[in-house]
Amino acid sequence: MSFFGLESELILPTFQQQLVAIVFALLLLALIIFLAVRRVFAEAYSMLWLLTGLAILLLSVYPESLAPVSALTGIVEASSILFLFGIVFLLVICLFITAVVSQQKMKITKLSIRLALLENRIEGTMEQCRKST
Amino acid sequence: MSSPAEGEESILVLIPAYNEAPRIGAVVAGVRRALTRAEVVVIDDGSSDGTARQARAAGATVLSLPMNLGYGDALRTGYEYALASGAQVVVQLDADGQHDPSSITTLLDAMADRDAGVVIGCRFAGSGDYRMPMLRRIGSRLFSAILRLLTGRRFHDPTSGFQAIRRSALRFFATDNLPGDYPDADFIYFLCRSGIEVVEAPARFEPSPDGKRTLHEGLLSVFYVAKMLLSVFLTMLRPLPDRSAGAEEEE
Repeated sequence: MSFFGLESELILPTFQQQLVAIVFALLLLALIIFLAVRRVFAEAYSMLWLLTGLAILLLSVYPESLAPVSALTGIVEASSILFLFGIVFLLVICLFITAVVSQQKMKITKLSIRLALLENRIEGTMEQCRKST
Repeated sequence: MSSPAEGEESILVLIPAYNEAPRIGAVVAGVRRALTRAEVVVIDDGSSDGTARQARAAGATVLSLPMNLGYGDALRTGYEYALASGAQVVVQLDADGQHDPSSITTLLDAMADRDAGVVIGCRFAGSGDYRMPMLRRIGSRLFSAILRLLTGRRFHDPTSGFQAIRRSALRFFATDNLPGDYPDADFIYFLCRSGIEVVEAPARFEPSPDGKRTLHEGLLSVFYVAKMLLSVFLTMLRPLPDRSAGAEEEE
């Protein structure tokens, strides 16, 4: 097959490999839905993971759809392309989670400062009340 | 604020606001004119433009969040306040002046006449000059169709944030069931599943202020629709809340 003027020599997975990938994708999707229903993560993150699960399922069912990527990258093994996708995805997720954790830390710091100031103000008010009575 | 007379229901008006300093004063004043006996509470969602100061100057009680939590979480702060303060009815409206405070009485009348737990202000039945942006109109129709399929009932304006809520329904709002960003069709579906009577009443809407970026524009609207569809799907799978929980407190 030829894409963008480049030839693709994609080696498709065996039936056994494909079956394992489909079962894995279905289990992953079931786990994601279970966690989302139990509100383990927020809906925006649920959407990200559901899309990932669906993408894995689609690529497992139709591995030939990787042919354009194979032509562009020169990687011939479908499973290698999936590994590459997986690693890139995990790196992006790590980056994203690092950003979220950093933001949460800033928010917790802000809340802690505000709590300390409020406690100080309450104690001051109570002290004044005690003195006046 | 004037206290409710004996036998009158105490009403609390919630206005979540984020950087609405130029408009919040007029909105609070409009609500106080329309509903003299209500307490007006502005939830300042981490604004940096003096929204809280303007709201206080207009006579509102202000709950200031230390950072921007989002529309749903700001509302939840207000619901918790309303439950703690013993309000019998809560009305919520937007801080940008889109919701005409003179329609509040229509919502309250509909609540009493139809014995509803929640009344949604419906812009299509109002007499204002409001014209919904196209993307929002498509989204609204889509959610309306989904709600009809799931509940068998027709909601003309499921994305409206102009609502009146009775105390018996309020305890469903002040929980994790309320989406933290934008509770819309997903939450209406949740309420219907929980046995709350949700009805619509005509309300007057004004167009969005110029230059205001909303969720219903561009790529954000695509994300919003996808998120809402997922949220409705997850609501279908979740177990129903215990209706008796918190009922003792109501009695």
